[in-house]
Formats: sequence, structure tokens, C-alpha cells
Amino acid sequence: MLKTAGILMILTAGAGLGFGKGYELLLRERALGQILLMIRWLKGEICSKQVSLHDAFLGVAQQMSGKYREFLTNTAEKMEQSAGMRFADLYRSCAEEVLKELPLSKKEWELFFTMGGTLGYLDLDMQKKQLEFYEGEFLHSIEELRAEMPAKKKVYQSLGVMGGILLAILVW
Amino acid sequence: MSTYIKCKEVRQIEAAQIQNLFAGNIRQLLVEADLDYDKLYEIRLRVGRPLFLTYDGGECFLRSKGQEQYLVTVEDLKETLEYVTGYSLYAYEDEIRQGFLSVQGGHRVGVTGKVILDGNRIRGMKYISCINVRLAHQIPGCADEIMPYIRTKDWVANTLIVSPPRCGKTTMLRDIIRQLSNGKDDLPGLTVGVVDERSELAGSYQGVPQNDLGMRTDVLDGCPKSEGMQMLIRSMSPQVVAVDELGKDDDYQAVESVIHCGCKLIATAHGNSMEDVLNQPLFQKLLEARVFERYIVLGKGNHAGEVEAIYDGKGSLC
Repeated sequence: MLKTAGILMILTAGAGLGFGKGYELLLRERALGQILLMIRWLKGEICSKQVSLHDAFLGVAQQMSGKYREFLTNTAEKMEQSAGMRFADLYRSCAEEVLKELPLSKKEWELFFTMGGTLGYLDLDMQKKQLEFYEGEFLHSIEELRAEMPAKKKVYQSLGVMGGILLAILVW
Repeated sequence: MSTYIKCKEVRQIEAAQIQNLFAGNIRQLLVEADLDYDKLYEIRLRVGRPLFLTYDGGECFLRSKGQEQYLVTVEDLKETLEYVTGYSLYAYEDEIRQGFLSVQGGHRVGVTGKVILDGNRIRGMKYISCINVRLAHQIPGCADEIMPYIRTKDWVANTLIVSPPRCGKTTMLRDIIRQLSNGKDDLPGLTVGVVDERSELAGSYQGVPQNDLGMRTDVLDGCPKSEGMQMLIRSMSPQVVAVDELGKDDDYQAVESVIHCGCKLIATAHGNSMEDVLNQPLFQKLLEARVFERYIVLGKGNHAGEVEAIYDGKGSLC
């Protein structure tokens, strides 16, 4: 009886692990979508309204929610308080503090941090081009993820279930 | 007439506010130097040159303890520019085009570098190689001596303040505006409209005046004088219009429109003397039209802000 219960638990855990991994892909897609939205709002605030970076961050914070809003508000506040710190460092520290749990890949994190380094210190035209570049990069990441998501999801789920079965057989 | 106006300069400069405008290396030097910011007027950064300060009436440069004088680097300038623009260089394109911008506290940051031309029009500036931070200062009461000549209970004179550069005409104009706006004793306050083309009078930062121009003063910041004067008349119905540094030909029409609307005008002009100013076509025309009722001539003398003479509209000494 106990053995059967243990086997069932192993099977459930294996399947859960596989489905969880698949769900992570969905979360990553959502995170990338939010970042893309943030870049588009920022572009609007900077290029159309021509407000300072501080005001642009606060303006975009009003449109976003959750961790993204917290990140934008914190960065804007730090811009005001921590004069004497370079923007790239300030942006990175806020992102690492607030957004650290986002399920982004290493490449996407690097892209996100590099974007912070190019904000502010350019003229309006270049600012627009830079934001469009990062918008394109993140859009590409989303499309890539969407294209490979069904297959990857299936692989994760199958691996989870099969792994569970294998472990169950071994234990049996 | 030669009057030296004795009054205490009021400066409320926060050391940290100034230090935080500069790159880390320079900030460190400023902190170590333990300066009296009341005596500090300018900080100049030039690439490859020492860091100069205009301090306590003289000039000095900073050095690290036991080191040679500190030479400013391109990286210092770039970092400083990031701080003075609040990480938003793109938002200050127009100001950079003019060669200066105002920061919190009303301080002015001048920049020079390679100018980018688009035909004959200045499109921007690149390779910025010099930054000059001029610390704002106000001297409330510096216009006390001349106020009786330009203001009675029911009369305000159209006034032109004439002085060479750095002799205190903007500081004087600022105090006149403040006194007209606030009123004094039995003199009621007046609505004053200020066209602050170079953000020097109000020292506006993000549209908010950092200098005290009085409680009834409306400031049009960064607007060309001639357009600004007409805009103010249309939108704010001021009793007095104040502008700094008249001198362009197209200012004449704007001055005329101010006078014909029944507003009073207080303005300044560059010049070493009355003759110097009246040699300029604009002021010749204004003299012939008897626009100004008072001319106040400032000189360097012993100290900036020394009133050399006050003339009436006909050019006679008051």
C-alpha cells in the first residue's frame, strides 16, 4: 500500500515538474511582453512628450502594475535621491532588486541591463532609435519563444512524465 | 551721483546640491576642499585642464592632497553632463543648442563644444569640452536705493538698466521685479510678467522659478523676448513687463506693444555708458519715442552693482 502511494507520488511529482517547466515558458513570455510594453510606453513619454527620464519613468509606472510599477517608481525615486550615481548603475541595481524573479534568459537580462545604459545620454533622435532597437530585440525574443514554446512545452511535459515513470519503475 | 549699495547678499546654497552635479572624481575634490559655498561663484571644467573655481573674489584650482592639480577628463565631463541634465540629455536639446541650461537651485550650467550646423541654424552640440557652473545668487534689497526713482504710489517708470557685463544688472532687475511684485509699506504690489529668455532672471528649473521674483510675478521661461512680451500681454494682463538684455531690432515692436497696452516696462541693456547704448539703433529709436522714463547706469567701480547715474527720459540727471 505504502509502496503504491510512493509510486503515485513519484509519478505526480515528475509530471508536475514537467508541467511546471512548461508553465515557466508562459511566465517568460508574459514577462517579455510586459518589458516590451514598458519600452513602448517609455518611447512615447520620451519622444512624444519629451519629458525627463525621471518623469518618463513615473509616467510609465502609472500605466504598469505589480513589480514593473515598483521597478519604475523605485528607479525614478533613486534618480532624485542618488544624484552622483550613473544611470546605468542605478537602473541595474533597481532591476536586480525588484525584478530579480523574472524568468528571463541570461541573454534577455543582458539586453535589459544594456538598455538602461543607453537611456538618457543621447539626443532625442538617437534615444528613439535606441528604444526601437531594444523594442525590436525583445519582440524578436517573444516571437522566438512563441515559435518554440509548443514543442518545448511538450518536451518538458513528456520528460517530466517519462522521468516519473522511469523513477517509479526503478523504485518498483 | 555715485552710490554704493550696501546690502548683504543672501545665498542659500546647499553644498551637496552643487557637489552632486559633478562626476565622482570632481565631487570628491570638492568635498575634500571643504569650501565655503557662500564665496563660490563659478566652477569650470575644461578637458585636459585644471579644475578652476572662482572663489572669494579670485581664482583657484583644486588638487588632491599632496598631488598635482587635477586635470579634467572627457569621462568627467560626460558624467557631469549626465547629472546636470538629470540623466536626460535629450530633454535639454534646446538648452544645449543655446549653450546653457538651468539646474535645481537656479544655477546655470554653460557648455561649449563643437557646434553642429544645419545650414545656418545651430542644430546641436557635440564633443562638449567645457562646462561652467555659475552659482545663482540673489541680493534682496540691492534695488532699495533706486526704487524711489522708478516707483511712487501711483506711478511706475519705464526703466532701462544699463551696465557692462558682470556689473549686476540682472541681479538689480531681479530685485526690482521682486519689490514691484511684493509691494512695500504703502506701495501696493503689482502684477509683473517676466520674459526670461535665458532662464537667468528666475533661474527656472522644470518651469518652476528658483529665484524669488515676488508673489505676483508670472514667468515665461525660455521664450524669445519679442514673442514673449506679446504673449504675456495677451495671456496674463501684467501691469509691468520685465525683460533682460534688450537689443535686437525686432524687440522694438514688442516694446511698442507693451507701452501701447498701458503696461510699464523694466529692461536691461549691455553698455559701458548711456552714449554706448544710445549708439545702438534700437535704443536711439526708443529714446526718440521717449519710451523710457528712467535710465539707470551701473558701473563696476569698487563693487558690482554700483549705481553711476540715474537719468530721466530726456537724458538729464535725476
